[in-house]
Parts: sequence; structure tokens; C-alpha cells
Amino acid sequence: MNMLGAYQKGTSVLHRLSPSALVASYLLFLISIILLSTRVIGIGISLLLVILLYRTGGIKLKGAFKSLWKFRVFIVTVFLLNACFQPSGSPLFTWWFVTISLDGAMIGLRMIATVVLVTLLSTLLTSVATPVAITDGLKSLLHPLSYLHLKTDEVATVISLAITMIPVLARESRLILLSSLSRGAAVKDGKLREKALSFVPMVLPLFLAAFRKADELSLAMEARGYSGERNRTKRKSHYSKSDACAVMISILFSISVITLKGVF
Amino acid sequence: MSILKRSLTCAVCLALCVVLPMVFHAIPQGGVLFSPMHLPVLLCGIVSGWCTGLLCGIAGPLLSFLFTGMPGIPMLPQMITELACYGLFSGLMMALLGNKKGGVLISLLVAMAIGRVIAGLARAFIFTPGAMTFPLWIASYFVSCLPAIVMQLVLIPLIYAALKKTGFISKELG
Amino acid sequence: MELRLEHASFSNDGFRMSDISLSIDSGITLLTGACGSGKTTLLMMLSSLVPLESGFLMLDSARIVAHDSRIGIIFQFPERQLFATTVISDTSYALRARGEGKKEAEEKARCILREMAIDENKWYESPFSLSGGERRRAAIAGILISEPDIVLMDEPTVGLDGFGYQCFLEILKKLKKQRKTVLIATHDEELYECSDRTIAMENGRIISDSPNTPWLLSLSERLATSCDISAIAKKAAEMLKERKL
Repeated sequence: MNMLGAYQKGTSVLHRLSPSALVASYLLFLISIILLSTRVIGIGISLLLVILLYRTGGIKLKGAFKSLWKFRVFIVTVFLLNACFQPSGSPLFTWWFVTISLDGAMIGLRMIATVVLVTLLSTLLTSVATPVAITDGLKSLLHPLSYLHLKTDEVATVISLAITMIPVLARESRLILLSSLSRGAAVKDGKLREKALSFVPMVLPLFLAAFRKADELSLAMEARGYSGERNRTKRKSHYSKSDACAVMISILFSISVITLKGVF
Repeated sequence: MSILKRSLTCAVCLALCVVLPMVFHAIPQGGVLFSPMHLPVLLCGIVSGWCTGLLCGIAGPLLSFLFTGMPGIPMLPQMITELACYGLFSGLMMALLGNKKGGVLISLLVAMAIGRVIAGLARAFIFTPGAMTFPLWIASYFVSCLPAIVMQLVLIPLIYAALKKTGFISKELG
Repeated sequence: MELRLEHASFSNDGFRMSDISLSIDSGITLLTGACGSGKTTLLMMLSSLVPLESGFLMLDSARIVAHDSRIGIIFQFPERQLFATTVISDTSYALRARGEGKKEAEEKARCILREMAIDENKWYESPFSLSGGERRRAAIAGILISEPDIVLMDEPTVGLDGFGYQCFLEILKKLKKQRKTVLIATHDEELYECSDRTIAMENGRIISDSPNTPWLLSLSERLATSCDISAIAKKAAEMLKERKL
């Protein structure tokens, strides 16, 4: 189902990290890469970091570059917009109102490099952890916000329920679509309004099915005593030395980046 | 609507943020043109309020990215900003307008307009500074999105009416 | 009209069926088996709505590669596919989708809704205002209105009350009289008496396929009603094989 980087089973250090440590490290490295992207040397350091992380995770970089190919149009557009429309005193090429400048081209290249590195890092995350694990990690990281009286428990419950409903609704949507197609439903050519209305037989029953599930589930949960309040059983998280190391390394790296950025 | 029902409505809308793009891609001509993820976010705000609409707008694209890889990571922050605004403002407008005639349509129009302005500003100053111009904003948020806008204005009131008829939305909510 | 699968393979939601060959012809055929045996997947393969991974689907000796409107399929809980603003527009949708005029389509819709015993006063109301049984009958009407030659049904009697069940039996009788090819995936033993043939499935394979004969009906009585019909069909196939009859 994941087009970006489907989960690849493995036994590497990254695979064995707890979800919260993995997501926390990812976020810290992500911020560092974005901060480093303003300099060529920074991009070089980020690239080395990404290569090192891929080797640690035992994931092939070649496969990750394949997922980048999907964003080629976006990448080219970003480059052209910056190269053509960034004001600069050193034009390389001028045609009509379009001026490609050296500075603009450099900015465009730096932006492409950032996009590529961020995508590679995200691909690595989705390759070493399942979507459920990543969501668990995010939920754990949000938990401290509950001490500020933010309803992170409820948010976590909603996201967990959503994840369990995805395969159910996906299955139902397939049957609804087949049923509509068997009755001759098809997207009509012509005015936008007619086109939109031709989606109704395929989309409306799916929404009704989804809301029916919400209704039934709310009755079932209420019948079993769930009321959305706190003081529910919480699973204990287990952290290992590798988790502590991973988070420490990512924190130290981020601090170094921020310090060096301040110095230079 | 009880807190539990609001939460569950948000949960199904979040699930639809992942499922609907897959459905649309399976329909011939149903692909990228129609922004299918916007439908459940707008509906969530209208049906269950601004709080859950905001959550749906933030978590929907994120979940879709985790499960299907779309939207791509370069587009993700912009899409989260845009959809969060849709969910937030559609819910706020519905709370303001309540049972009034045309409330759903007005809420949709206001949410889509404000969402596009804020998303455009975020792109111009935060996500792609220097790469956003006013003509580009018009082109990417209105011209190329026209099929999606029409789809949302046509489908969401129909879905809302069907939900009221089936009793999923109580008549007090409007 | 004969519908035939030849050495077909297909995967549905992780469940795979390989090298399935089956032929169904005029009359009512029951498709039985435990939950997860592959009944719905087989119906999907026969529906011409999904591309087969291998093998082919033949309708009256002609190969089908895309959806054929002569094959109609009623999925489980068909009332969940209702979407239109009135009962009559939902019922007539299939005819209007294939190009028929609104007036003619609605006239045919009125005929079939009358046969389905849907109250005339409700024809121009929202289908969501109908009772559960009425919605089921309206949804079935919406599929049968296009008069498919082949009708595939997935658990059509689940959740039906007595009146709805009787209406459904009347539909079956009519389809049989019209010599349609009907395949019903079901656990309902009561349908046994009005059907001509029973196919039993287990773990994605067809384990038995035998005509329903009077001796088979008495066999079912001897084996007592607590046995499900897939077990009866399996037993009958074994007995036929051993030529104990």
C-alpha cells in the first residue's frame, strides 16, 4: 500500500529501535538537514548522514532513488521557478521575461538537494517501521502535551481507531465501486457539474458506510462502558540502550548543527 | 453530538482520507484532478465541529502519507496547512450558521477561500519562500483546482443531506 | 445462457484462488461453503467486473474481457449501495446509465417496484426513509431492472424478515421461469428446495458439484437439518463417486 518506501523486514539497529525513539530521531535529523541546506558543505554533510543511516538500516539506497522519480515534475518545477525568478546580478540566459541567473540556479539546486535528502530520510523511516509503529511513535511523543491539558489521549485514540478502520473501509469501498460499476456507473464527459454528479453513486454509499460504522461503534463502545475519559489502562513502553543512543546521537548532531550555524 | 460520536466521526473521516484517494485512482478519470482528500476533511468539520475538523486536516494527510506515500513529503506540509484550515473554518462557520438555509454551502465556500489564502501565504513565506507569486497562487489554488472545487460544492451538501435523512446527524445540528 | 470460467486465478484481499474451472447454465445454482471458503471471490471472478490474473471467462462461448451488462451481481447488503434522492431514480439508474430515456426508465422502475411490493406512496421519497426490508427489495430492483441474463447473488437472504423472504422466493421463481442463470452464494438451507444444483467450496477450491435430486433431498432429511448444505453436497458427491445409488 505504501508507495513511498514499503516496510522492509529486517534485524538492523534501526529496525529494533522503539517507535518513539525512531520518530524522535527522524524529526531531529529532519530539522538538521533543513538547517544545513543553506550551504553546499551542509548538503554534503547531510548526504553523508543519510548514506550512513541507510547502511545502518540495511536498506538499499537504489530503491529509495526510485521513489524519488515520482516527484521529478515537482523537483524540476522548484528548480525552474528559483532559477528563472530569483532576482540576481549575474544572469546566465535571458529570453522574453524569463531570466535564468547563476544565483537563482544555485538556490534552485540547493532546494532540490533539500527535497531529495528529506525524501530519502522519510523513505528510510517508512522502510524500517510500519505505519502503525510510526503512528505509535508519534502518539508517544505527543503524550507529554497532555500535562498542558491538551487532549492527546483522545487524539491518540482517534488515530488508532482510524488506522483499524482503514482496511475495513478499503474492502467496503471495493465492493461499493464494483456494485456501482455493475449498474453502469461511469464518470461522464461534459460539464464539471455533471462530471461531479457522476461520482455520486460511487462516493456517497462509501461515506454512508463509514458513518454507519461510526454510529455502530459508538453504541458498542458505550455499551462496554467507554466514555472517553482518562484513567484507562496504559501499556508500558520498553526502552533499550539502543533507543537512548539513537536519541542522544540525533540530539548531539542537531545541537552541533545549530551551534556551527550560529558560528558560521 | 457526544464527544465519543465526534471522535468516531473524526476517526472515519481520517480513514477516508486514506481510502478515498485510492478509490478515486481506481475510477477512470478520477485521479489527481479531484483532490479526494478534501472531501472527508471538510465534511468532518461540518458534521462534528471545528476541533475534530482541525485534527482531521492535520492527521489526514499524515496518515495518507504513511500508508500510501501520497501526498509526497515535499507537498505534505503545505497540504497539512491547507486541510487544517479547511477543517477548522468549516467547523467554525457551521457553528456560526447552524440550521440556517444554505449553511453547508456557505461554510464550504468560506472554509475553501480562507484555507487557500492561508495556504498560499504559508507557501510564500515558509515552505517555498520566493517561489510563490500571486498569478501562481491563482493558477494552483483556483484554476487547476476548479474540478475539485465543483466536486466538493456538489458532493458535500448531497452527502450531508443523506446523513441527515438516515439519522446519522440529528436534526438539531442542522 | 452459459457462463464459464476456465482455469481462472484471482486474488481478493490477500485470498487467492487458482485454476478454477466452472460452468453454470440456466436454472438456480447454490454456492455453499464456510465463511472464508471463497464464495464472494468466485462471484467476483464470474461478474466480469474484475480482471482475472489468468484463465478466462466465457459467456455463451464468447470470451469476456470487460464488464458485460448481461451479468448482474447483487452483493451482500445491496441496500448499502442506495444513493439517489428518490426510490424511483435509484431503481431506474442502471437503465439511464446505459442511455435509456428518463420516462421509459421510470416506467420500467414502477413495474419492478410494484413486483417488489414497495408501496407506491414511497416511490418518490428518499430511499433512506424506507424500512430495512424495503431498502433491500428496492436495491435488488435497481439491479434486476436491467434484466441481466446471468444473476449472481451474495447472501441475499441475510437479515430478511418473513415477508421479505417470501418476496425474494417469488423473485427466484420468476427468474427460474424466465430461464435465467442464477448463482446464489448462501448458507440458507431453505433455498435448497427451489434450487437445481449445489456447488460446495472449501479453502478456495470447489470440492463438490452435484445436481439436486429428490434422493438428495431425502438424504438431507436423513442427515437431519443440523447439517449445513455444503456437508450434504460433499456427502452426495462422495456417494455418487462410489456409485452407491
